[in-house]
Amino acid sequence: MNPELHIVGFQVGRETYGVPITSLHEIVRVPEITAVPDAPDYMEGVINLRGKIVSVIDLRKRFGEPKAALNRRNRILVVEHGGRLSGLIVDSASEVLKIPANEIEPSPATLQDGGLNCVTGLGKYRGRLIVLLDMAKLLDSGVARKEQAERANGEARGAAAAKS
Amino acid sequence: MTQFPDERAAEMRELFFESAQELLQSLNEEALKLEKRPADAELVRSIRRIVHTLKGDAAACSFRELSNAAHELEDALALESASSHGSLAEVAFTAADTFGAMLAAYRRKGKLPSSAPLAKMIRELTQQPKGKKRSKKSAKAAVVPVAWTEYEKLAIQNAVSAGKNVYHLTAAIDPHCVMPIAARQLVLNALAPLAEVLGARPEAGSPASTQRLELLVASDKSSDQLSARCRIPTVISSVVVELVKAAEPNARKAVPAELAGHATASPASPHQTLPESGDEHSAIGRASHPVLAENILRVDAERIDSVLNLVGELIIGRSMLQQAFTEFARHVPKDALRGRFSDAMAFQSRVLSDLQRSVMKIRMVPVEQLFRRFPRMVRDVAKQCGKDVGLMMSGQDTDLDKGLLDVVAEPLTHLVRNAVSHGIESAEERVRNGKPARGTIHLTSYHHGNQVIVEVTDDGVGIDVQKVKAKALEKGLVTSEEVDRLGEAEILALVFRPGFSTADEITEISGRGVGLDVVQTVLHRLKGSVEIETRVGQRTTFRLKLPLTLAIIKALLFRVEQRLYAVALNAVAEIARARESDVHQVHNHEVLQLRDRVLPLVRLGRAPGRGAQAGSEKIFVLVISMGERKLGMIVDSLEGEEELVIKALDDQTVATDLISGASILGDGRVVLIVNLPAIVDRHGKVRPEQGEGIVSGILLSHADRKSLREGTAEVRL
Repeated sequence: MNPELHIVGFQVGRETYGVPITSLHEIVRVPEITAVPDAPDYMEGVINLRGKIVSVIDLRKRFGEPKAALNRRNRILVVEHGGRLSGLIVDSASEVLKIPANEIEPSPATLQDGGLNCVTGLGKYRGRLIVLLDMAKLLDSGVARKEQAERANGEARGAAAAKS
Repeated sequence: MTQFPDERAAEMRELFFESAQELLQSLNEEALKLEKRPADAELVRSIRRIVHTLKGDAAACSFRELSNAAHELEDALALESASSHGSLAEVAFTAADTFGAMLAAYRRKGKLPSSAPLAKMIRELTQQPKGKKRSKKSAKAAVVPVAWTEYEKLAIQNAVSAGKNVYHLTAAIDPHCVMPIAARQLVLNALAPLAEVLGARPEAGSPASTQRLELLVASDKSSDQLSARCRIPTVISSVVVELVKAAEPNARKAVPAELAGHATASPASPHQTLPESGDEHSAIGRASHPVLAENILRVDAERIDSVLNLVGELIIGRSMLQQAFTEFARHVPKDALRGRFSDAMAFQSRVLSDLQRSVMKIRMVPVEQLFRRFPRMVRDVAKQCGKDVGLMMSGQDTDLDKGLLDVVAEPLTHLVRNAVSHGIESAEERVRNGKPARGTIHLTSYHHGNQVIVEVTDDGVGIDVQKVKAKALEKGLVTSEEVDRLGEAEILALVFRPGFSTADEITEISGRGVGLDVVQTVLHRLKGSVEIETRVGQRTTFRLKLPLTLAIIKALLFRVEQRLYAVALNAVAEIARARESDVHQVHNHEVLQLRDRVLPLVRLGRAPGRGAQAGSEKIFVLVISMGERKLGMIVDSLEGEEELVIKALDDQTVATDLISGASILGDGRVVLIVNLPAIVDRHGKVRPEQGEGIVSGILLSHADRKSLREGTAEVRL
């Protein structure tokens, strides 16, 4: 008996990524996005999801992919993490993949210390490699990065103040 | 005891914590009274009742340590020696604190605090020399007053309103009676045709170790008739019937505690009468006070919030409908259905407004809930400082949003504590200055426009403006040129600056600004403000101004760089129109001459390119007033006024102090609500760097600003 993992696959750049289907809330077309000041640059802003305000992350920017204009195929994956909804802008959402658990390898150590520390593993699916993402790390590391940026900002501000 | 499922137990525990907080509050209140009237046996009993309830509730939630501690205290209080003990109030205070600490520990699931000091005090109580007792009282000691439960008190109230007299019937069971348990049933049977039994002690099914049977009965018969009925030969040796509460002539009105005369109908054994039964009556009468509030429903605030959220969404839905309808009307100008649509929508809109108001009202609670903690606190702090301070409170019934109430509690506590420890002088000093030795702190609350005002006034030393000035200069908060330009109110406002005063200056008379910056921060977060009014040597008033609610605001919508933002309308003093050429630069800051005033400006968008040099572009300037300060915000265009349902922007990654929340417009667009204090703050802090010119683009997002700095005119999606 080999348990299968149900993964929602989506494309960002050339890669296919996946998140567990249990963390997915829904997939929507990209509505008008309201930019928020002071937010990290990969944070696109907030959207109105049927009366709820949901923040949206651009995964292309998050993963350092070259920027591309949004088109018809772009989707927002609304994921639930820690009781909160967040949106992820992806190039396109593809399908639900069933990956046997033994076809999943832990992420290589080199990825662990890099910026891509939100990767939990690599799944093999019909000869393709699916990068499995950890929602908690993806969203929380966003917080961490923001804090880092703030600290840097604060220092820069302090330095500027000292100069003048 | 049946084991509840976890969820149910957790819910029960929450309820318990809440009711326990109230019990502790009452305990504090009774203890305060007891301190003033130490010999009042009724107060002791009231305290005992509170402790008893707490014990029972704690046991039901299996908080054994708390239950045990309460039990010990209850027992000790029942002792004769307790009521005559001088420092009983002190014990009650200690008990309230210890129980409070235990509750907090249970809530956190943390380590229980030691109850040793309390246990020691209780032991002292119980070990009081018993010789003092008067013989008359020893009779009373044998007769432990019965504490009727809430339910029974409610029954009393109901019976009284139904036009019946309520009696307390004490029957002594004949010591020779073969079956004391049967005696109980016999008495009940005997009474059945005459009266309704509301409560009985010992309760049914409990082991009948007692020789006495106490009943609470409601009847329209006289006490003599009842006692005659109960006197069953060889079973009941004596019967005492007392009137607890007379029937109300006007059944609607609740009668306050009144002492009804009691009838003793037992010549056989006079020693069985309760000498101070009057106390018992009034105790029950007093207890009827909470009974009046029987219609009150305890609801988790979260549930109300979720209803409020739904109402908020309905309001958004209404705007959507309205917009769709307007478009529809444009497409089909002459359709008979239009009128009906419009009527239906007007009706729905009205009901919705009512619904919104009603839900908001649910969230409102009287300020009393906030004020009631202060008598104890003022007493404690005054005692610590060795001062004599009285507290007066007024306007307790002013309603305030529950969410606001909880947040404002801390700054208010701070202010009251400050007023006692720094505001009020020592008794000697007061007398020397011709003031009454006892200082007074006045807490008051009232509505003013769409704001709620809470004031803390002390008749103490006042704040010396010159001293504040000197201190601010010394601390380097302001420069000497700046200080000369400031008005009195502005100088007083300096005490709210962080770093104005630090903890090591608490003892100084001028050191009143301990943590006042915290007060201001909280108030700003609540979209309120704080003001000081003072007269040296006479009084100081701290005035907290709070919005009525946090959930809905009237807002002005405007655009900056094509983006839509909103700002609370009540902060906008006026809207001025100007041209770019009217904007002048002073010290790298932009200012605008508005009538006879020079208005500092803050730009939310980017400044017009240097190449443009047009200068004739029209701009709008929102004149914002923040306390004493006025500031102009340059915006590109105005969009109108709308009532916004605020939704928190709670996602950590987008949370910024520049934005206080977001809202959704009728057409589904998200609008961000600008946090004015933060804007003002940033404007004050940021010093333009040399060469880069005017700082601008406060509201532009991170990426925009980066590209702005790099000089690329790239516009994002």
